[in-house]
Amino acid sequence: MEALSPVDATRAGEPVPELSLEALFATHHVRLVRVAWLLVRDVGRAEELVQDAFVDLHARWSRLRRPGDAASYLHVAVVNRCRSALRHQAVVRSSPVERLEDAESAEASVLRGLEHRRVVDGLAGLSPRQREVLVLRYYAGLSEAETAEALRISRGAVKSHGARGIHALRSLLGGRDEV
Amino acid sequence: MRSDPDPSLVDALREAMRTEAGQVEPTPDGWARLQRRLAAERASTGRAAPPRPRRRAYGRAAVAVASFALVVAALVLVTTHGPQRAAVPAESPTAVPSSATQPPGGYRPSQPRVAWTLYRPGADGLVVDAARASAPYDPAQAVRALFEQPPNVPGAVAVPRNDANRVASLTVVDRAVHLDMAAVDDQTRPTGAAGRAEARRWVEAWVRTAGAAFDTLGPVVITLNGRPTTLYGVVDTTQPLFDPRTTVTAPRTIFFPAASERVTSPVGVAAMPGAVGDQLAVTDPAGRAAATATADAANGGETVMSLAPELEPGDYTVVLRSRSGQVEAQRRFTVTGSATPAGREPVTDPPTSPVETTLVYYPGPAQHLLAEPRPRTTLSDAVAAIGEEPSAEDASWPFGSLRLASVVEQGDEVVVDYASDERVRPAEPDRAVAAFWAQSLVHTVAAYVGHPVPVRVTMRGESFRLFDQLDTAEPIALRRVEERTTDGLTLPDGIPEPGALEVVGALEQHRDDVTWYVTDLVTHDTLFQGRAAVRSDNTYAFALPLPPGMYRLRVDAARSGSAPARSYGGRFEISR
Repeated sequence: MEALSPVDATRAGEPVPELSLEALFATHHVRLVRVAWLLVRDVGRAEELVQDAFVDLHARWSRLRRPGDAASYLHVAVVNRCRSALRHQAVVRSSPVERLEDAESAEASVLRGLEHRRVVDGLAGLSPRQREVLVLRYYAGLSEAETAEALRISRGAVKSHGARGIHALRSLLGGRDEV
Repeated sequence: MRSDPDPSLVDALREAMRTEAGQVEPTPDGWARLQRRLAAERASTGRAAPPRPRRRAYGRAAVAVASFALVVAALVLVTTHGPQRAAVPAESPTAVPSSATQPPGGYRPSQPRVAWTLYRPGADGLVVDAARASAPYDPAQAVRALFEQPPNVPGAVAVPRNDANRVASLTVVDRAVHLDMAAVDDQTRPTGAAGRAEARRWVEAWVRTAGAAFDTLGPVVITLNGRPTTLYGVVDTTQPLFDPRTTVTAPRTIFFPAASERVTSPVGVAAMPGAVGDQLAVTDPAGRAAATATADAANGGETVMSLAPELEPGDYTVVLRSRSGQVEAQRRFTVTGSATPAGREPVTDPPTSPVETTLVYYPGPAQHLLAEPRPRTTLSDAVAAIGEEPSAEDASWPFGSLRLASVVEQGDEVVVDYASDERVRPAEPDRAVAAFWAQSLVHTVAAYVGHPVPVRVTMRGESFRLFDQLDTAEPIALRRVEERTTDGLTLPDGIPEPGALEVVGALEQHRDDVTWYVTDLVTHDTLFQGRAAVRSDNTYAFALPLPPGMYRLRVDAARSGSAPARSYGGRFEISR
C-alpha cells in the first residue's frame, strides 16, 4: 500500500504534488508544447504557456475530483492561454528547431518539407477558432466531443468551424475556393 | 451547411502538422524549471502566483509591499532550511498592517466546504483534526473551531484557556493571511524546560490552521485588534509567521458525524484517510452505498476527505475502509430530515455592475431576424459578432464565411469591408435569401448607431457579389423584417486575467428578472447566486467579479403568465 507522506514540502491539505504532476508532465508536456506551437508559432512562447498551464493546474490540484480531469484541464488551459497570447500581441512566427536530417534530405524530401511548412503556415491565416478546431481535431487527436468540450462550443460549431477552416485553408493554399 | 471537410486536405494537414510540430522539441529542463517555479511561488506566496506580474499602481503602498516582500524572502530562507522550523518571526522589521489597513470584509474561499482542517498541538508536532463548515463559509470558522471546539482526535493537546482566544477576522491581504484577534489569552504560559517549545507549538497550530483555511502555507500575520501582540508570552507577532513545516500526524479516523449523532440532510461527513485507496462510504440500513469517496493522489497527504450526501430520513453508517477492505473506523448516525433551504444558500450575493449592450441580428426561420444582445464595445465588434456562432439554435450565421477587415463610418453610411469569403453557407441562397441575410448586418449596424443607416459592403475595398447573389455596388438600406429576441445567454470564451465576468442574455418573453447561479466546475458547488433585472427589450446584462477558476453559470427565468420557465447555462474560465 502506498503510504502517505507528511506534507512538509507542500501546501496544507495537499498531497505531494510532484508525483502525479510529474507523471502528467511526462505524459503531456511535449505534446502540449507542440499543440501550443501550432497555435502561436513560437517555441519559447509555447513552452511558457504550457508551463503556465501546469502552474495553474498545480494551484487547483487539491480541488480536482478525478485525476482524469487534469489532462482535460490542461488542454483547456493551453488553448485559452494561446488565444489570450494571440489576442494581446502580434504573432511571432518562428521555425521549429532545426532537426539534423540524414542523407535522405533529397530533393523530394525538401519539397515535401516545404509543402508541409506551407500548409502549417496557412493555419496562421485562419481565424483563431478555426485554427484551434483543426489543431485539436487533427493534431491533438481529440474527438469532436472532446474538442467541443475543450473549446466550450457546441459540436455543431466544431463541425462548422472545422469545415470553414479547411475551406479557408484551401483558399489560402490557392485552391478552387479562392475568391 | 457544407460541413464535410475535404478528406485529402485533412490528410495533408494532419501530416503537415505531425511533421512540422514533431520538430518542435521543448527545452530538456522543462520539468526542472517547472519545479523551481512552483517552489519559488509556493515559498514566496504560499500559493501559485499568476504567471505574469500583476500591474499595479506604485506609490507609498508599494514601499510597504516591497519591504514586506523582502521580509518574506528572508523568512523563506529561514523556514526552508529547517525541517522543524517553528512559527518564528523574522529578524528584520516588517510591515504589520495597522487596523486601518485591515480589509473591510472577510475574504471568502473559492468554494463552500464540508469541513475545515484544523491543526491541533500534539506532544511532538501537530495533529490533524477537522471541524464542520457552515454557510456562510467564513474561513474564520476554522480558527474559531480550533479555540472553541474540543479535539476530535487522540493525541491532541487541550490548550488551557483556549476559549479565551477570540477571533475578530481571518482575511487575505497582499497574499498574506491576516488573523486579527478580538481577545487573546494573556495569562497562560507553558512552564518548565519545554515551556517555550510548547508555546511555539500552540502558535504553530494557529498559523497552520489559519493558512489551511486558504490552502496556503503562509505567511500569517497575527494581530490583536489590529496591533501586534505576544502570544503565550513567547511569540512576538510584530513580524509575519510562517508555517512551521513541523511534524504533522494525521490519524486515520472519522471526524464527523459523531457516533449516534442526529443530523439533517445534506449530511456533512469528514474523515482522514490513512493511505491512497482508502474508501469513505455512507450506507443505508439495507447496506446500499449512498455515497462514497476514495482517497487518490488528490485526496492523499493530510487532505481531509469529505462528503455531503442528500439522504432520506433514517439510520445510516459511515465507514472508513482501507484499500484491502478492512474497516478502520465506523459510525452510525441518524438523519432526521432536510436542512432548511436557507441553510444551503450559496455563499454570497455579490455586488454586480451593469453592462451596456447592443443587439446583434442573425437570420432565423420564417424570415425572422433573431436579436441577441452582446456587450457594447465597438461597431467593429458588433459587426464581427454576426460572424460568430449565435446562442439560438434556430439562428444561422452566414457572415461566418466572411473575414472582416474593417468597419468605418463614412458620412451618412457605414462601410463594412471584408478580406475574404470562405463560401461556406448555411444553404445555397437565392437573391431573396441573400438579401434577407444581409439585413442581419444592416440591422446590427442600425442597432449600434441608434438609427437606420445604409451599409456599403466591400471586398478588399471593391464591390462584389455578397453571398454570390447581391451586387454591393450600392449601399444596402435597412428594410423592415420581422424580428424577435431569442432566449439565450452569451458568455466570453475565457477571461485571460482575474476580472469580471460579463453575462449578457435575452428572453423571448418578458419577465421582471432572472435568477443566476455560479457553480464551481470542479467541485460542482454553487458559489454565488443573485438576481438580474430584465430590461424593456427583454435583455439582461451584468458584470460579476470572480476569482480565477472554472465555473458554470446558470440563468433561470421563472414561469410568468404564458411564458414558460427557462434555464440557460454556460461554462467559462477566469485565468490566473
